[in-house]
Amino acid sequence: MLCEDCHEREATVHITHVVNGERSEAHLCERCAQKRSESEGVAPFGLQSFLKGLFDPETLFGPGASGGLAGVERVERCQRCGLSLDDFRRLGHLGCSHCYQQFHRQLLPALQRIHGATRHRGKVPSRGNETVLLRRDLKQLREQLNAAIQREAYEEAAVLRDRIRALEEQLGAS
Amino acid sequence: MALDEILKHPVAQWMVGDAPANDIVVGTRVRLARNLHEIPFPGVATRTQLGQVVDQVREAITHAAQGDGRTPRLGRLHFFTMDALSPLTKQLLVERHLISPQHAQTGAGHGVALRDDERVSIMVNEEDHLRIQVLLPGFQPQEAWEMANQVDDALDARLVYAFSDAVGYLTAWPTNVGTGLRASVMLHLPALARAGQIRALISAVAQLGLTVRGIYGEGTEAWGNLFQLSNQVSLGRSEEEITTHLATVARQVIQQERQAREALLNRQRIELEDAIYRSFGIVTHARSLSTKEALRLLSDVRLGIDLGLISGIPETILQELMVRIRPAHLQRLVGRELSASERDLQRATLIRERFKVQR
Ligand SMILES: [Zn+2]
Ligand SMILES: [Zn+2]
Repeated sequence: MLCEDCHEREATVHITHVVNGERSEAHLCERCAQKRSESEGVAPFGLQSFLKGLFDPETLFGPGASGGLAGVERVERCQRCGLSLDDFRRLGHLGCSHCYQQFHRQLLPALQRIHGATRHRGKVPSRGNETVLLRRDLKQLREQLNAAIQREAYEEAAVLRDRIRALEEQLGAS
Repeated sequence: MALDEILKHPVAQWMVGDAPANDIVVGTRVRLARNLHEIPFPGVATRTQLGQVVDQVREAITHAAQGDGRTPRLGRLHFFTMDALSPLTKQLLVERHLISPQHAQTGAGHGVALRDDERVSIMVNEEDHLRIQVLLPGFQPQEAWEMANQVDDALDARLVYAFSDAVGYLTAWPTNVGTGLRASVMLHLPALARAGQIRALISAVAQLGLTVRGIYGEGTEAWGNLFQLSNQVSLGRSEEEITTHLATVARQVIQQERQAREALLNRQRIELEDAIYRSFGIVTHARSLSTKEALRLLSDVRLGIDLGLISGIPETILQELMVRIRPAHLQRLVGRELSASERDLQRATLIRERFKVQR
């Protein structure tokens, strides 16, 4: 079933209103349900309120986390998918890969809590792999170049410069 | 190939045959969560975006199935969109542990790929764009990871995954980020359960970054003494480390279950034999059985087989019947919809017949 507000996303929130004995139902996606509840002051009930219990801010971010943010920070949104920090806290999941950058600061303590770590080790995808490794090499070469210049080792610096240029071209092409 | 054709065997391929430690380990599962670069996760994606994911993944799976010189052939993988499957077929997939119950509720814009031996399944647009799953019989964490890794390599050759240098494979839930790996062993622990050791086990493995929960049943109940031991940590450790760690802890649990069985035999032989033979009597003669009761009785029978008290029945009877006695499988067997009480009758009949054939 499609969301009756945006007609784009799957309706996962089902709200029943009873006003003067009249029943009305609304079938919405999580985003639109949130929008409506903000404007109507009505809390939607559905899967997400269940998940909220599992992933409430206190669990994810430690005691006091839910009350700790106000004002400007509350409307912080992912520029790519539109998910807000509040949405994340309410749902427990993120909207897109860009959210990881957007909410990096809030995520770090959560990752530490869940995994006891904040940095990836292990498999790297083939395409990500190439660029990631090239960038790492590039960074190292630039450091070496600076060191060489400081030491006035100009021949070495020239060689390094050529290698950096080659890498930059490779990165630009990929 | 139609999905019903793949599912035609009464028992899924991953459940049968000889496998390491299958007196205690029912099966091993490895799951990898992956998302595509630049497309929002399924939870917030639009219908169009879900369609894009389905198209890209379907294409990648088709190529992966054929192999292209660089990557090995993955074999007979078939892709289906969820709206092309009947509610019964979806439920059969759930009962065979090939898709999640939530995924069975989806339709257009969602999909599933399945290899004809049912050892590899890929959910498309579940909580993540891809959930690659490998299911093997018995205790095979290393083999399951290697197989999942191969499937992932073959898809990776055609897809660009969402990945960050810092936190690895990006997933909808921060609980899966990093490797995106969840490895599980499904354990039959009747002796530890009888000895009241499950609570202690749960808190012990929690300290090691692992979880134990019942496979069937609600809340803290674990019907049939069937448990799933899985890693909770997916970030900061490599896939090999996670798999090895899980295997090490699982081996200890298996060891403890064996010791508990030994102790039961030594100290409470009569009570144990009495309980097992009573269950055997009921399960082979009852006219109506609920899932919960059937699993309890079958767990006892399985323990009886392991302890050499009951013979002439295949060891895999528990994993076979734990799937065949569930509603959709019963409904398919009978060929019509069944009420709950009709199911209890059919369940008892199926089990009676199954034991009759064996003896
Ligand atoms: Zn909507
Ligand atoms: Zn986002």
